[in-house]
Amino acid sequence: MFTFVVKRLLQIIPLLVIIMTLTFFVMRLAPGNPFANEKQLTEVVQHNLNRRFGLDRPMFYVSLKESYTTLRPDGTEQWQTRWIFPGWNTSTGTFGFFRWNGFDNQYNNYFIGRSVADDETGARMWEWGVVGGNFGPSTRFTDARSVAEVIWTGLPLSFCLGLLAYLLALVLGIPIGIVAAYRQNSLVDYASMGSAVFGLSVPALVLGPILILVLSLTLYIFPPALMEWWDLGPFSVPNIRFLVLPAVTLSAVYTAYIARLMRAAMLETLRTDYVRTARAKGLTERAVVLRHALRSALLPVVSFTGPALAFLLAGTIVVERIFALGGLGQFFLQSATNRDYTLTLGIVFFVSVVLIVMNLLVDIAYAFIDPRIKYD
Amino acid sequence: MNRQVGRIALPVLAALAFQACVTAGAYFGATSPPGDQILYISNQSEPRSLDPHKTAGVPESAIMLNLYDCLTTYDPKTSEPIPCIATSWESNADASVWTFHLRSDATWTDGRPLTADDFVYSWRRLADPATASPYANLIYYVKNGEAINDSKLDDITQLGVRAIDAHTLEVTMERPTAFFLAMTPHYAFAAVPQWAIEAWGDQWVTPEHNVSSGPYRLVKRVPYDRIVLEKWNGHWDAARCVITRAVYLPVEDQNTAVNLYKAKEVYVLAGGGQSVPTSFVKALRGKKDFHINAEYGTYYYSLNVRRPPLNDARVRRALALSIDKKEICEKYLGAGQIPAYDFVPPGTPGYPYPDVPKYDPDLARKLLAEAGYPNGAGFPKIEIFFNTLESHRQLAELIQSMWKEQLNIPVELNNQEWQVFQATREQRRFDVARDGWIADYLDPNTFLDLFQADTFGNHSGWLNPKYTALMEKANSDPDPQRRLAMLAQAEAILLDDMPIIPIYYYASVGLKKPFLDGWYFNPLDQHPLKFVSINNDWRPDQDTGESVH
Repeated sequence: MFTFVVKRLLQIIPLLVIIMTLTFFVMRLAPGNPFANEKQLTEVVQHNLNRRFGLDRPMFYVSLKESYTTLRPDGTEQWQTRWIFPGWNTSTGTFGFFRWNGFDNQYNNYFIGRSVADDETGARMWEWGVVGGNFGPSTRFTDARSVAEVIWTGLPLSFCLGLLAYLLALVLGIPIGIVAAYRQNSLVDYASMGSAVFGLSVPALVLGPILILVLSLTLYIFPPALMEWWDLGPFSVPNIRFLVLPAVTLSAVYTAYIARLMRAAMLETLRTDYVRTARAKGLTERAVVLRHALRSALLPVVSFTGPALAFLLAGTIVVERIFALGGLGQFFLQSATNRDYTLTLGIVFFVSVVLIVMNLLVDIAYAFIDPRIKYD
Repeated sequence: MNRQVGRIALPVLAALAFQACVTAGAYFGATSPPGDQILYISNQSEPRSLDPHKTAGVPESAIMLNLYDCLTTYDPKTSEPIPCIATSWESNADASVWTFHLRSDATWTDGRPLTADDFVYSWRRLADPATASPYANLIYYVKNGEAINDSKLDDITQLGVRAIDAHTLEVTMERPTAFFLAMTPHYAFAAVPQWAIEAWGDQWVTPEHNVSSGPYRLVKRVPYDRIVLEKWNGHWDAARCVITRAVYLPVEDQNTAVNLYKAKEVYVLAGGGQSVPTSFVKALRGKKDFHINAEYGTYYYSLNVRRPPLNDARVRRALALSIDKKEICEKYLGAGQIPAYDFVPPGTPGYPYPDVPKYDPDLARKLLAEAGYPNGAGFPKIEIFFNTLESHRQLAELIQSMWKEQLNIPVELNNQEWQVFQATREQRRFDVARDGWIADYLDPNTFLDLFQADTFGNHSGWLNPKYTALMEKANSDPDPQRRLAMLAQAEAILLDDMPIIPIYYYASVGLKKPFLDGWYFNPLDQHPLKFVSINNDWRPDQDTGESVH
């Protein structure tokens, strides 16, 4: 078990490198730039902005050429390149190894780091990139200290909303599935599976506005959007009244899916030999279903809910938009459409980590639920 | 969001929401006034930054207008500049040097006096390439502004702005700029606190470190949640301010904004432009709290004058004359847009709008025949480019069918994602491209300026030495009447050559609770909070029907 976990954790590193690299190039190669607005910028303004965020560097290059700057007659700097001969390092004038000159490009600056001049002293300092835990400043929210800070502000809301929706889905979905399976082809079964199909086929985009229309604009029970936080000193919690509608909207699809999964798995399990044996032993129906059958019937549900929880916690674009909530989903959507490169990469990193870890937890949970599975 | 799902579901939603809208009553949703002076505003989207030199957006402007005082501010009704920090001003004979006299009782929230030196620092910062301000192009009118911003001049003290004494500011322009005053209420020209910026860097705009000079100060900022401003009692004009707190909510989705308004969670939809979904407009039209107002902006088509067949002015005029703009606005757009024939929108005080031919398909056919395409024969296929948005598509389809019907020419449509589209337009890889310009300041120059040079904003590539000369002459004339007359002449040249086809003037469509006073729908959509108040005793029977339509 231990070696399995360690092995899986080590796999995360190359996986993240691949994910981040792909995202970086997809984002950078998409047309547009983070400073585009409805208002167009002049060339000079655009150039100044690019320079401020290091986007004036080449995106990526590997070369055996070395770059250096020369001064033009008018005093401005010009970039030039020259070949490095094998074994001869022209910049130091000594023998050495090939010098890799791909460092001053956006890819390396972002992932490894770059040398920056101090505003006052002019001394060069090394600033680590993602490998040093620095995702850089957001190119859109320039007031925030870092991408991490932006993610941090959206996290509590997405987390509360996601967790509530997740619990709602489990608390409703699992019992409904069990009952529907146990009373197969009864009215209860048809009714619950009918509403599950409804829940699956009506997207949040439709369900949300319907709930708003009925419960907040007509009956005035819940607020139509936004979030209010209760300040409890060291931390604050969201006002549950504001959280109900988004959580219900968000959980509908998951509840329906879990109920259907649970029912199918339960039906199958109830027909297995060991359940018949359990019944033959004279156990109560309650014990047969809840203690013996449920455990193995839960497997597909667990493998679904692990990644589902990851997605829920990482923010949900549609629901957050409908209810004007400032969670990770909004940040993700906005940062991608605004070409906020650093913020998008930061969120992709965060979501990937959560997703990978959740999958790992699901695999570990298997070992506890299903005695047949062992990791050695 | 999946676009396919969006395309199907959004009309469904709109229809659903529509049902909810159609409720009886003179107003839309709850109208009982609150018992306090706390204003809740739906402000479209999350501000990029609250640093006046770090952003170019509309939602930011609504907030910064109240945080940082400028030399002048906007008149709440007409958007014209009125005294703020500057109590009076004058310019020399050819409007190349402006002198502003500042009030002596203005201070920053930390108690320091606000002086002419603060403006000198701020404007230098705006020009400094290291600041990388998206609105730096506004300082190009000031002497050496462009050279400094383009790194051609390293010494930022060479910028044409200096403090004669603590309360007198002298601005030397790059060339005569008679319209400079109209730009001074813009937030890019606000004063920013040097010491706070030097102490806190980019962090000076957080509520803990922010030092401001406006009638309101920043007390809370939660990204994508809310920004809260509070009345600052130390302000020189504090006696005028009634609103004690203003809460700006970044509501991206228009349907959500309308829901919040109906439930009285917000009192006004701000941010300019179309803040109400088009599908709601018809149902809301009769409501007293629904407002349609012509904005200082024009929606137009740019014609690529460097590519045949549109390099022929006769063809361009034929295209313009065969579009029935009145029908487009009334029958199809239906959200208050006004058919545009001139490029400069209505609302400029004293501007003699040039008279241009309107819809005339017969003349269009004649011009097209003169250009060598009788009844469209032999006319090469042209494409209309627009960025992906349902309303742009509908309009392009209408114009396509009008051109086909009236001129019998083949037209195709091509939609692109916004950022891709911008690149297409900039590189002139189009025949016809959707375009739009919303003014930064209330003067025809902001529109006519676009065609002075072959740069930024001049997508059609049209240049005319006569036009350029006339524009330069106009802008060095301090007599407003003569100047506007010359600008109108220049505009007439532009519209005679037709490198662009104005289609409609933007209308701002918005909702405002009847108990909110002092908030007018003005040409630039600027609403200084110090003129706004909530009438706590408002009752429906008191309503005098005052509304700006």
